[in-house]
Amino acid sequence: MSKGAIIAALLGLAAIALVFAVVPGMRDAGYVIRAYVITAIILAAYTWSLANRLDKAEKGRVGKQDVTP
Amino acid sequence: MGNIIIFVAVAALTVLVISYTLGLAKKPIESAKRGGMIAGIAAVVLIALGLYLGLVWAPTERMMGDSYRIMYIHFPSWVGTAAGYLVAFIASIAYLRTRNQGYDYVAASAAEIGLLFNATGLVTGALWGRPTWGVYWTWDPRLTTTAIMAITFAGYLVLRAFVEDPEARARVSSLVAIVGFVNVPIVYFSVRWWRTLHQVQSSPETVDSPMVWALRTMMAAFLCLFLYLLITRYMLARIRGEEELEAVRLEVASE
Repeated sequence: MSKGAIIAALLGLAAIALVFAVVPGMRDAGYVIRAYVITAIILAAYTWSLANRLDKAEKGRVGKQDVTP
Repeated sequence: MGNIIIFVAVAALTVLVISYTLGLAKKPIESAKRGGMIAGIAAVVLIALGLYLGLVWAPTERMMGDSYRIMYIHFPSWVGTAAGYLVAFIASIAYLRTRNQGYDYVAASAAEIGLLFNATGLVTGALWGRPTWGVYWTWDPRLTTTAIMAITFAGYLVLRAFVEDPEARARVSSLVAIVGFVNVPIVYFSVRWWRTLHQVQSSPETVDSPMVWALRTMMAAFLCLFLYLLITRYMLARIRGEEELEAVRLEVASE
């Protein structure tokens, strides 16, 4: 797993933790929590996947350059 | 006076973002990487600040209560969506004019990131609609045109996956992005043209100041996140595109 992917996952979890710490007790808290948590999951999952794909592609490119005479 | 300053600031920011993202097509990949890192750090700082301002500092809304706080991620999602589709539109025109493959990578990356924010916009809108309107979804003109916009750009990405020849793919998908963008101003003006359930755009003058600043912070945060994701996605598209062009060259040479 790449460094970018780990950071994305940690930040997503931090945002979700903040929402659970602050929002309960508010009016319509269920909807607010769901909106923030789903958004955090979508954005963190995409960033995580993108960072991993880029890391793999960069390693592949460096690997190819290494074997090119 | 305040509105004019905001309008000029937004216009300047839009020009800056578009010129930077289009410039990616001519930049070395290392320079793009540096820009991505700066945008990523700015996004993290601004999201942390925006979440605090939106969830803690901003007061409860008199009519809607706390469900209005969904606005702090709902509206910024549309900023990311509009930025993505606008960049895809302009990069597609630039590709058709210059045939520089870099613009095609920018357009494809921007459309994908635009669709990502379009998805979060639709989800947060539905979750805000339920406590406010009583339904998750209704065939209101704003919601319907937004769904059409998402389907159009999802189709753009599917089309790209089906066309194998890189040049034909870039040409055809550029046309789809240009035609698809026509829907963006329709989405924006739909609330004025057809006055139904979705409210018209609010003026900052009629909204409490902490709410306005929380919203502006989150808008800036999502714009930085958009830039970070776009640059990262562009680097991936460029590496894959160069590999693909190399494979095509080798295939032609072997024949």
